[in-house]
Amino acid sequence: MKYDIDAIFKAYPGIDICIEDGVGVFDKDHNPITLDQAKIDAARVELDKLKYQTDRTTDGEVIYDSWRSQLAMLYDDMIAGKLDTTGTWATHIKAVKDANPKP
Amino acid sequence: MPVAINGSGTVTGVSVGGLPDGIVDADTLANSAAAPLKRGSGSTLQTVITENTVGSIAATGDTIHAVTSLETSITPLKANSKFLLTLSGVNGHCNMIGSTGNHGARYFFYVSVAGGSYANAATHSDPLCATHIQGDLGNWLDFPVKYSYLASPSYSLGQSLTFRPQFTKDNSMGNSFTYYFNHNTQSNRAIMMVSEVAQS
Repeated sequence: MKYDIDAIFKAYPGIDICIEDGVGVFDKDHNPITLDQAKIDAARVELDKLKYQTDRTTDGEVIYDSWRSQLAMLYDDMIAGKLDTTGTWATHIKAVKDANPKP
Repeated sequence: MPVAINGSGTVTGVSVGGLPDGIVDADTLANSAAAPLKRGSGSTLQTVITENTVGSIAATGDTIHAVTSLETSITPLKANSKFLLTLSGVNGHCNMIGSTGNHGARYFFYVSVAGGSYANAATHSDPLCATHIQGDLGNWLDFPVKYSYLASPSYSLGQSLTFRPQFTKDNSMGNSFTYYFNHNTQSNRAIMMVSEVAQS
């Protein structure tokens, strides 16, 4: 069995636990812990609400370019007189937001 | 006792060390004749391996957590042997995106004698391996983890020894952060190897 590690850690804060895929979840004395799936599901919902942020910056297939590249886009748009929604920078930002919508 | 050559095909009366040095060559020995119990100090007597696609193994707090799936048992063939422990194929993990945790982990070997409680297999409390990342690099990294140790547990002949890896948080990381023994990004196979090394 594969565990939702991040959700378990969020559902059970402040205690020492160890999660082994396919084996079990244990306390600090290596005694098995019985998990409350409802608590884990609720934690997963909360984590998913925040997921769009990392999807836009690191984890998604379409992510923000570096700040240096974005400044270069803005400069090029400025020189080209395209500091509007058709410019390189605005198009890039929109593509990332569209690919990773805020829940 | 006089040396006698018997009609049954046996020679009797030869004392220990009574043959000239070097008289027995490799061809004279039968295959596999040098059984483990006949091997001397420094010889490998037996090797036991546990391998597993361990999946993700992660933890919180300052406990030195156990890795159950790599427990490896061995029953020594000789007294006072040492045990060469090797762990490989582990995908360590560090993540400090936004300083949110997963800075790294410290790795150990623990041993249980005859089903007793587990204790550090080393003669010191220092980790045998560690991963660490310092500062927000904007992403996470996985590191190959491989370490060895020559352990000298106390045991009696007939008792079984069980070795396993254990891990805990990075030295400089807060208890509320999470850390990984293995990060399951590669479906990698971890291998725990225990070899008995004769001391006499």
